[in-house]
Amino acid sequence: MTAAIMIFLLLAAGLLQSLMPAMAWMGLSKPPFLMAVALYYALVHSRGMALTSAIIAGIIQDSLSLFPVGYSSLCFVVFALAVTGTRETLFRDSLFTVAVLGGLLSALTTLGLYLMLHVNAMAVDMPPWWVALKMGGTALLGFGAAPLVWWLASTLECHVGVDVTEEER
Amino acid sequence: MFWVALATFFLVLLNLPSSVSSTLRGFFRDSLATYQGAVTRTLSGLHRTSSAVGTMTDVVKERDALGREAALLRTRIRSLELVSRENDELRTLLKFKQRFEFRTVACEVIARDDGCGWWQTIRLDKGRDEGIAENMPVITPDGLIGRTTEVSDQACDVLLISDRSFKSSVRFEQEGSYGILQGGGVSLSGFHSTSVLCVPTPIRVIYVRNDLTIKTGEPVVTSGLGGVFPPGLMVGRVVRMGSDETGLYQHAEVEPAADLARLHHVLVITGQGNP
Repeated sequence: MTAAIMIFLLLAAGLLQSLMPAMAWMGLSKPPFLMAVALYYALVHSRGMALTSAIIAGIIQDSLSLFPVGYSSLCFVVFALAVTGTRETLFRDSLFTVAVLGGLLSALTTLGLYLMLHVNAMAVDMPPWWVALKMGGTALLGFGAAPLVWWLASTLECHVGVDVTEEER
Repeated sequence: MFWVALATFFLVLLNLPSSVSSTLRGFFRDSLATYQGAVTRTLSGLHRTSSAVGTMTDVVKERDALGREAALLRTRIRSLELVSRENDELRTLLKFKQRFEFRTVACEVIARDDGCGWWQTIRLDKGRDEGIAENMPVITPDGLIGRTTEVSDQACDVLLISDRSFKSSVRFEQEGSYGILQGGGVSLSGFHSTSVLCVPTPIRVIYVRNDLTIKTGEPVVTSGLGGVFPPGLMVGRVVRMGSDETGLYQHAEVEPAADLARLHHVLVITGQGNP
């Protein structure tokens, strides 16, 4: 059941992310719903689930854009590992923590993706101010999207009877 | 052991053969394309309904004068106007398709912009099943809008001419000289806040010879060089000329002929000759 919910959340997040309008004054950023789902699993579930969701979220994100397959997965997995490794020291049940992590990781994901594009000479004519604007934009949107996804995912899991505290922690 | 497995996994994932990675991407693209199309059509229907309801609300305010029947009629007229506009658009597309000398596939735009806003793309509701392949020109009756990039069985992505990574050889129609078309990207002024595909920065034609005099308003068309775009497709008109940083060439700022912010139906050129 947990896996089915994860797939549902990831596909819904991908669909929503692709349909949301990008805001030009935020560097054409989109709300990072896929990253938010990966963050939810990293904060709440076991490391295996966190990695699985991060990899699938990354592949869906790459499929929705022109990134080579694996770029977003790599970013998400690095952050999932960092979060699962430090989550016991965080107030992870606080929505504010989730929001801050969502904002921070969204900005870092943007930076990571840009660096990978740059290394592979794919960041054609992307000026630094544009990347900075995009980082700020995704941070802001991640700050809002992460708690929303957290609330939706935890509510959904609660309703279908997934006991995260017993099974995964 | 865990770290070795993870590193190996990513080494494999990042170096997947293009056929495998294309299949993987295609699977997710096709999986989501159905829903993207459905949601886009639903939103479009809702927009139509809300327009009709908006009209009805206005009429209700004047109900003493107009009455219930008039409100219903106006609502219906409003709906019909929207349908009529869509019909006109499709008819124009059909006429253009019939007199156009290339084989084309008419597609509907089901999503705008890529999943994370790095590229200016649109997603169409048709793909390999309809004969669409990568690097095919995409046009509207007004002119060129881009080329297909990623194609799966039931959907494809189109890189718009406004994207910074878009490049193509073009020709000034009257002057006859050549240049390289490059997308202008977006700037931070002069556009509405939530616009997805606004083109505030005109597209540019770079590497234009310094000794040429090109007038404002001159049409820019595809040159046919490079093999992706057939010659003579309208791209836009020159807005102004300028000198590049080195002083060796000049560049032209070009207003796209097609309205890239309002794309609903487009044509993908799949080959030569009208079927």
